[in-house]
Parts: sequence; C-alpha cells; structure tokens
Amino acid sequence: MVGRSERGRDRRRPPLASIGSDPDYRFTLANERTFLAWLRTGLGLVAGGVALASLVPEFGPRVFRTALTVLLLVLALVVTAGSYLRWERAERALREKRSLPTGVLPRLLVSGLVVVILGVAALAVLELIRQ
Amino acid sequence: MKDTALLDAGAQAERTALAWQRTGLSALGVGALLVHAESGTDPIPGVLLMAAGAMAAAVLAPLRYRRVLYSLRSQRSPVAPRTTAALAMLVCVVVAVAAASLVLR
Repeated sequence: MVGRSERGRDRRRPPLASIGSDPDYRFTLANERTFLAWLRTGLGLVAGGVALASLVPEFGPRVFRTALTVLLLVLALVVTAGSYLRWERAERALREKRSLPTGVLPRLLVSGLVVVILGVAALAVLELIRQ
Repeated sequence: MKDTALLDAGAQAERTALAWQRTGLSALGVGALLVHAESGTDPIPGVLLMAAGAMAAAVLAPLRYRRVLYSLRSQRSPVAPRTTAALAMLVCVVVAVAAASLVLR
C-alpha cells in the first residue's frame, strides 16, 4: 500500500519500482507492447500529415491542406505524449493491483480522425467539382 | 518461471521484441518519407527519425529480448521506465521539429 496517488494527479509521484509489487511479467510486457502500438499510431499520423503537406500539391486549396496537416501533426504529438502517460498510469495500476485506467486517448484520437476524414472528403468533393 | 526452458512461455519476450522491431521499422519508414518530402529543406528530423528507427529495430529490440529473459531468470519485473520515456520523448521532439519545419516553410 505504498504511494497510492490521489487519482494519479499529484505532481511528485514515487518512481515506479518503489510502489506496490511486481505484477505478472506478462502484463508488464503487454503494457509495453500497447505503448509501442500507440507510438506507431503516432508515427502513422505523422506520415499522413507529411504526405498531405508534400506529396499532393494539387489537392484542394493550400490553406485547407495546411490546416489538416497541422491537425494531423497535433494529433500525432498528443498521441505520442499520451502513449507514455498511458503506459505509466497502466504500469502503476498494475503494480498497485488496481483496475486499469481508461483515459481520454482513444476518444481524442477518434474525434480528431473524424475531423481529418471529413476534411479530406471535403477536399475530394471540391476536387471533383473543379474538374 | 522455474524452468528455464519455459521462460518465454507464450513467446511474450519475443512478441515484445518484435513489437520494438515493428516500431523501429515504422520510424525508419516515416523518417524516409520526411527526408523525401522535405528535399531541399532541413533533413535533420527525418534523418534523426531514421537513425532512431534503425537503432530500435537492429539494436534495441534484441537487447530488450535478452534483458527481458534476464529479468525473468532473476525473478524481477522486466519493466523499463527509462527506455519507454526516452523513446516517447524522442518521437515527440521529432514530431514537433518536423511539424515546425513543415508548417513554417
């Protein structure tokens, strides 16, 4: 029962190894793989942003494309930073034998992606009308 | 966990090493895309990402595999907070620098 944090919000939290007890190693490794999967998702968002900014210079008005690029890159940053925070909170919960925290990352990613998809769809429609 | 032959039961360590490798290769790909897309401008974020990706796939992944097996053999948790934090930080920095150079050009 060491270092049980107040809803995981206090600033100076004890280092991971000093709290609770070692969980089943499979959970730790699964948590690590989930972190890596989120990281890859972030990298995928970067790829999307870069592609939109550089590989399709004729696709829709430039301002619109830039806005979508910015959104994708901001999402990438949020997902990347969030991947670590999620990993850390999950590992803490595992060590303290609490249920896993849910977090806002999936919701943020999905709502961001919905906007991106709508934006790209709008660009595609604009492109069709122009031809 | 008592039997060394069954240390990697369920191939947990191997799957984790493969996940590291996949992530490294993704970073390598995205880095190459960055370098390609920004030819003429600053190639540093792309090159940095490619180097980190190659490192993760070729060095970190097998190293992690052996570390996990070692931890299991000595009955310790294979948790790696510093590696995790460092990797997330590196990708954050690269994303931020790439974003800046893409949007501000």
